[in-house]
Amino acid sequence: MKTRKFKDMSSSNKVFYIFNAILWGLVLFVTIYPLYLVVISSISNPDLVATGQVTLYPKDISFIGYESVFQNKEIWIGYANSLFYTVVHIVLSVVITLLCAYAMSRKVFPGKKLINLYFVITMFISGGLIPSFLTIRNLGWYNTRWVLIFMGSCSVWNLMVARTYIQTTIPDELYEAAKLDGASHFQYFGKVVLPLSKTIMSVLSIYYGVGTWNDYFNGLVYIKDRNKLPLQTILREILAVISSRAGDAMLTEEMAQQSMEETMRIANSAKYCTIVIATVPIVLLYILLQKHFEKGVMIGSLKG
Amino acid sequence: MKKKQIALLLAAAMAVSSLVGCGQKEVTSTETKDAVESNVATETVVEPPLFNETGYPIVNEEITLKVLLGVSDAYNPIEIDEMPAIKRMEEETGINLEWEMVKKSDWATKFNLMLATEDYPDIILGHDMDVSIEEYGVAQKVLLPLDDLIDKYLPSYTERIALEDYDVAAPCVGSDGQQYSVGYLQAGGSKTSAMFAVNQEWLDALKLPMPTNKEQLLDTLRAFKTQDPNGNGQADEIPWSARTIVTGTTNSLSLTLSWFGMAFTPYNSAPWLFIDDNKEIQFIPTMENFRECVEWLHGVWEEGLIDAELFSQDGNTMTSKIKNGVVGFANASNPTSNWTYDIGAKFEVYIPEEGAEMEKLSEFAAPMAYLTVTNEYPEASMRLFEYMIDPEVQYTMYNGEEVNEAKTAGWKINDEGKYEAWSTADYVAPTLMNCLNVNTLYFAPPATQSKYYAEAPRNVWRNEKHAMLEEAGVLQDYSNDYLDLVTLTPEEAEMVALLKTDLNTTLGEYFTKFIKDGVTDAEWDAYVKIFDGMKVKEYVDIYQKGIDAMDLQ
Repeated sequence: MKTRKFKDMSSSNKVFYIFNAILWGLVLFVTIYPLYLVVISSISNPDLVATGQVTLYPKDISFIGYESVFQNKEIWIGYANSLFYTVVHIVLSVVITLLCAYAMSRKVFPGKKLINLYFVITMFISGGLIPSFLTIRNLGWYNTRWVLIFMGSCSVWNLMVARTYIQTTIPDELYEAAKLDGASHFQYFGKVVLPLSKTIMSVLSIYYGVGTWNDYFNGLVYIKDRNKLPLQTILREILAVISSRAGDAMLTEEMAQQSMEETMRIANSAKYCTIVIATVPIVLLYILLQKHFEKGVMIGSLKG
Repeated sequence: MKKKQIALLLAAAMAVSSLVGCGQKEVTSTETKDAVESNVATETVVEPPLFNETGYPIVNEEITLKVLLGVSDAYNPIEIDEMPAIKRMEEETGINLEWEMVKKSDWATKFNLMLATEDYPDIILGHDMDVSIEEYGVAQKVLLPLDDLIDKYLPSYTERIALEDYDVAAPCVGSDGQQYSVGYLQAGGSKTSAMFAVNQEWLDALKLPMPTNKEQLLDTLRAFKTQDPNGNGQADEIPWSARTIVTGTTNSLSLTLSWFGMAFTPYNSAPWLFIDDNKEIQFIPTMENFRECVEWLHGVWEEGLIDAELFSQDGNTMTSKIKNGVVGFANASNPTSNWTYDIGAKFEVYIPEEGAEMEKLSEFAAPMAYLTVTNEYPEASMRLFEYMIDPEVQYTMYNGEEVNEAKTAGWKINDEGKYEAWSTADYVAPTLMNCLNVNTLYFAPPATQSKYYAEAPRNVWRNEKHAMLEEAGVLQDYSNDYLDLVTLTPEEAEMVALLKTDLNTTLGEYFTKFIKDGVTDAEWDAYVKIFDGMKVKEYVDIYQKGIDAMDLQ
């Protein structure tokens, strides 16, 4: 359909067009402004940030927040840990999910309904934190990196999306043809299904990657050694410093040492810097996989 | 057919794998409390290594104790095992310590998880953490009673308590009369939780006297607003900066309730109650004085004499404004501590007029060090605590080494024979702390504190101002801290916990609303009626009964 020029539109369409543009412009501003504020606050004087004087542009440019962040060894350790956990988790999760999705997409699969029901039940009912903790501890994974790699490596939701994708995008005739040529399921999966699944692999990578990168809770609950903590758990501690009442609590009587006061002062700026640093990899991931993501995000939602 | 069999086999394997988490509980190195109770009769008891009743090392064969250490959120240390004082302690005592550090904001999650999974540490350290003696000691019996162990292995602790004329360790005792904790106390001579302070530099610049009552205070604030006391030619002065958050902070406007005869305390476990001069428990929110106070504050707000961000700013924002020199009047627990010494010393304490009842502090120990029932070496653990509260050891664990590596800070013994912190002019505090600081076991009641330790300059300043307040007679007669010592039954504790949340939520809302919008008679009546359905009478009665049973000094 040929796009009509604005001047050729009817009055009612023009009004709608203008209203639409204003509305989505506002939505864009509301979405973009907090991100913009985070960036300008990260390079402004911490005292001006704390007193709310940094609103539209950076003031009294200062990189003290970034200096404090880069000097904090734990941030770097957390960064490295998060990168490691995310990359390994993405690979593992995509492999497990696609393998399972392929199996679930087969028409001839004895016990499929029972297994499907078993999976779906876990989507709605979870044992909760205590059983999970006991399971992890009994597996000997408490305070190990395995827990952060394996936990959540097969999301049932993503499994359903992948299964639907395979069912709707890859015709059964391809399997019939491959079977006639003597291919086994593994060969068909490896040589036909996987190459045709780049889109859904991108989608799963982003879903799992973002989930793992942003996760702080599993690190908080299952990890004791600070050198294994992911970045988000450490970031959360920095935010807790700011919201702690160290600025006015009774304990400040005892905590009023220079390092504590300075920590509090810089923490305001450091939180913005840490958010910027922590967000960069995910933004890059989105940019890298944007093409496939756009195509693939809705594709698994249709039930064939 | 073969493929069908393989598929069925795989499905069965998946089903079996779901039973992994349901296996027998793994026996950990720390036995369950049930197993400990029956341990005596079995042959699998591991005889503890040879333990020394006196002298060091405490044990002749190395033992390992797991320590759960609760720390403040702002605490940022090096690895605890790497701290010089910790290394020395492990060497001298022969006890290897496995530390698990948990920040205050994560404490509830980690601690409750630990309890639910019965994965107890041997020692719990944390004086600002939520470890209820009633619940975990008396009711659930997770914590070990320590009476006999304290008497035998903590002579310094009992000596220091005996030097005082009140029971400083009363909060460490449960309703069954047993001590479940070794207390933490760094007596600093603080007499009240917060003081109001006027910017003396601004008073001097405008040649104004120190206000001594509310009317004079208003005049002073008006002058601050209009006469450019900081002399920069800009109308950037904030005559009075504060916050309206009602709980857990010493810079709240709710502390002005004391000017109207109600000794409000921001911290204790029985919020919105105070003990009057007749030892009667009063419920603040429904008193006529409360209405008088909020109406007066409403007038201050309407005149624009108080911070426009009163209702939304956090403590850091407010402190930043004070440090930037734009605030004339504010409150804090200790201005020289909260706002840095240089800034705080520019302020002078405001002494409210007669009739004021500021909260009085009594220095009681906070429960800090606990042993769990699965601790196999309670005697050795108690001797470890005795080591930690040695005057020099506890001072070092709190303040750092005698001389730091750069030789720019440390401590010394001054001419009076007291431990005193020092630093050179070019001292820069390290990013990471190399000592436990506030998170260490420290027990120095008033007599002990003044015997061994020189007072920090910020505390000297504060104590001077508190003495002025005490002399002016504006502190309450009986400290609200006694409310923390009232023992509650589990049902009462549950009721109070729920009521506390409701009260703080309701009052947070109404305190703000009344200051912003004022209050009419009809609104006041409707507000008072809210508390009818909240079991306030029972709340007051519980604490009145508890106070009546005490001999208040």
